Amino acid sequence: MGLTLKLKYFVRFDQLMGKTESLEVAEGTSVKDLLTALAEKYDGFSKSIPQQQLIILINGVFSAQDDKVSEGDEISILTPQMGG
Amino acid sequence: MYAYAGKILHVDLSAEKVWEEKLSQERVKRLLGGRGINAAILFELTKPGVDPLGEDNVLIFGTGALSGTFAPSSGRMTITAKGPATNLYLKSSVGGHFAPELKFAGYDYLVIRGKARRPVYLWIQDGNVSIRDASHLWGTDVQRTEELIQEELKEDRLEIACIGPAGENLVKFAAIMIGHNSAGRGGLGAVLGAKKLKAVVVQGHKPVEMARPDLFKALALEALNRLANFEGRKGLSLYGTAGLVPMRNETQLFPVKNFQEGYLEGAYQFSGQYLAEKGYLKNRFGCSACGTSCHRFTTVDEGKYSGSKSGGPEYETVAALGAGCKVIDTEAILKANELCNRYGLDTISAGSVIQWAMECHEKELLSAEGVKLTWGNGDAIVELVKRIAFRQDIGDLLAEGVKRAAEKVGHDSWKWAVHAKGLEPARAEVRARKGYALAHAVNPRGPDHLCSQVYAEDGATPEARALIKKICGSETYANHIMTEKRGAIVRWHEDCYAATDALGLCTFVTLSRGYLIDPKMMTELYGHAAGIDISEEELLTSGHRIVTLEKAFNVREGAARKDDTLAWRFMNEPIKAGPRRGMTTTQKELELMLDEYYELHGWDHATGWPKRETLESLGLNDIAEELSRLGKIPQE
Repeated sequence: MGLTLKLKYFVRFDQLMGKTESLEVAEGTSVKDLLTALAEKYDGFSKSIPQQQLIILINGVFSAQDDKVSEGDEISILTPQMGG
Repeated sequence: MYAYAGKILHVDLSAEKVWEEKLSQERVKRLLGGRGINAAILFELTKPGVDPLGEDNVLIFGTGALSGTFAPSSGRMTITAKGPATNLYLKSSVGGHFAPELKFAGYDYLVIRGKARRPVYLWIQDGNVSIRDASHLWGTDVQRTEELIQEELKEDRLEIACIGPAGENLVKFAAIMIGHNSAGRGGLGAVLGAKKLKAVVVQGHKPVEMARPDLFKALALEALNRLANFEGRKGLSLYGTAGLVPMRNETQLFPVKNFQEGYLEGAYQFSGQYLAEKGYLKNRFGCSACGTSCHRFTTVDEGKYSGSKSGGPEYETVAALGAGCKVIDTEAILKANELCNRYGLDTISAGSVIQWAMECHEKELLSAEGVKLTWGNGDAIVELVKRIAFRQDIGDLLAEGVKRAAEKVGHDSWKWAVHAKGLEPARAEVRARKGYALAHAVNPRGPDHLCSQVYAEDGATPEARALIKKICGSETYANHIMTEKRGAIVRWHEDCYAATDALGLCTFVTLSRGYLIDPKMMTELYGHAAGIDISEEELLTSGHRIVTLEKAFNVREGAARKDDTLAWRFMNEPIKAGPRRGMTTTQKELELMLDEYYELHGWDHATGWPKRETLESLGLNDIAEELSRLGKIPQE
């Protein structure tokens, strides 16, 4: 059975910046798996920024690449940003 | 003397005298430059209890040791005085090109004392200094002042630091403006206004001599490459500091509605990303020797705020004037930002005091003629900025900052007067970021982000996690809701911030998330430029010495442990929603973190005062003697 996620994009990739979408993924999907799936779905996504430098929030909390996602999670995908 | 100009310029406005002093090698050795030597001069030249807006306050412009070189992002300057908002130590770091220009004109420091009998401005050109009449400039805004001075001096390239009407009207959070840059926090503009000094104008042509120019050049290029390859720098360049809005909002730790909420639907509309995407962003520009160009120039081309144009907005500006007031009207925020810059106001405190007023209005304690003080009202923020700058009706109350305004309004309004030491905080949610909370509590100038911003505790980048491991021994401590080891994390950051400021580097390249120009590279850049070789440990000890000196100034002025605190709201009203729901930084947590922090500093736990042995170990024997004379050395 699949999981439905809400994805919010704040990445330097014109096609996605500021956009929101729902995505179905398989049970057991990790953050790393999710990013791989997005790279397959969107041509150029993985070229816009190295995957390991993206900042991924799961329901507002910083996550690691091997963290698993759950049904209904809100995933925010951001690029790092210096400054303050 | 390599890297340094070697001279201090003194100006006494009361006596209408100027003179030069040779820069002390001993001070350079102990305090490096900029912020460090400024603090020593302030301590030396002011007496305890000096009135921040009186004739006897001293205001110091201090260039960084590397300012005027092409070390990446080395154009920073520190301006220091006793502060009107807090009645304590105040420093403000500012970018642009003023610091290199002052050094090119022959001076590392400009020390201003006294009070002019009539409005004046100071004109410094390659060692020639004159105090000129500014009666015709008094009352003009920042942009007009710059234009009139350019016309009068008939010079193409001038660096101008000036005040607008807010400084003249002694608004407690008036800024000193330098082009599109601002020495914003704490009311330095009011210090200039009280001295009747409208502007300082500088032009210089003398080169900065380098000790080992070839080695310096190679290392500066290496530093530039390190910066160029970091994704965070690209984001800062493209979107400016307001590019942080999505990150803060998505973590639901965004200061919305005067720190009552943590997420704002529609906040994207004032993000740096949106400003670029929708064409408000017209230009990006950088400070001296900086390739990042994080500064913005934005315009509004349509609608009722059409014609608005200004530098910025920065993250802190949109967070304070936008999120804090629940305003998502992009153009109203840009207009309010423009007016703050035009009138010379700190946008953080301006936004803070407006949101405090909105909360007072909601609780039926405050109203303003002709303005609806309701959350989300963009027109209200524009109108209130004007009234504050000119101290018109409610603006006269708000011009005092939230602490003093709450004392006048009474009732429970002090509970939502979000400040500590009298300064409104930078826009960070410190209930769920414990290191940040400690950093805000102990900051000598009040709760602010440019003395010890501890992003590393988030552990959001590999560089941040590596730094936490270096400081604490384990990456486990890269967790912003932990209280353990926060003293150590803050101590390391504040030492590094102080050293960064003393060298005139931008903290965005030494500390902010990437930690790219690390202390080792800082010492090497300094060594090749100044011919003074110091170790990483000596660099950070200089930072420690600077922080201790600033602390000692506050102790002299009456501060103690009770002043190292947070706004009441952060310690008593929990976060209402989101993943950190229910969190506060409690008094007990703060006390535990303070104990660790004081211990690491060698400061007395009960009073928060530096111990004699600590001061003497840092070579601050004269400071120890002065505090002893005042009965402010802890009893053993």
